Amino acid sequence: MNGAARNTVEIEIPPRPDYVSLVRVVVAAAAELEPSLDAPRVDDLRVAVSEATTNAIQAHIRSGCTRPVQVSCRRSGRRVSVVVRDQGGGFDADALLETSPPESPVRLGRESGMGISIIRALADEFHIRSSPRGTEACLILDSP
Amino acid sequence: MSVTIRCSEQPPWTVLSVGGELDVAGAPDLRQAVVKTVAGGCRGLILDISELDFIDSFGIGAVVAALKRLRQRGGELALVCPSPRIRRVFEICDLDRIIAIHDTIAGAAGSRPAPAAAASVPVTP
Repeated sequence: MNGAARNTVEIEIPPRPDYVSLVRVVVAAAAELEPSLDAPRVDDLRVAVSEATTNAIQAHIRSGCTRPVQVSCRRSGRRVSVVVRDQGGGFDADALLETSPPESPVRLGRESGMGISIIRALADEFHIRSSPRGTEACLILDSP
Repeated sequence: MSVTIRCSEQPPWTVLSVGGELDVAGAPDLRQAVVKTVAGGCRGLILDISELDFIDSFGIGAVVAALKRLRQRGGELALVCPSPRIRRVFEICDLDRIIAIHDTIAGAAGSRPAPAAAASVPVTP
């Protein structure tokens, strides 16, 4: 096993909401290995990974895809990179909604759609690629 | 871990104490509990998330839904969230600007004029 493989955890989960907590546990455990992310950054990672994994599961549910969602977590020093891949129907990544002011009726009318904004706020880097074959979300967190 | 919800009365407020993980799996239980509580006549709801271990946008969405449901009926929601880690997610979404967030239930109950009398509704999510 090479060094990269030792620092990488890969899991596949059924596209079901009750598996999101498992992904959080596995990714947080990997991030807490020495040299670990700082505890507050591990908390940020749990939230960001939860959002990305939930989006992937929902994409599978919407498209009727029963294949597993793939999550890969790679540690490099005090940096953690997580890639979440789904095989759902994809979406227009350029058309992601900007967050409205919280007092606006539009915002109060929206009880969802905040996940991407939360990932962007928490991750040091966030990239998303989507096509009709699926979506790949990559998020990277560092410890200062 | 899933979500746990307990209902208690602190007249004129109804208190829903939420523990566990409020995510895509747990948020529907909170939505259901709020619908049942408001349908029973509650107009002043304190959501006590002191024992919450985790929240993401789905949990936030359930809290926003509770706020909307109450305000549409002339009621009000107060949130008890002493944990900076959980509170941070609300702040990222700017929701601390529209939802009163307190450190204790007593602080939430004493923070504003009493709402209309709350009904006693057992909650079994």
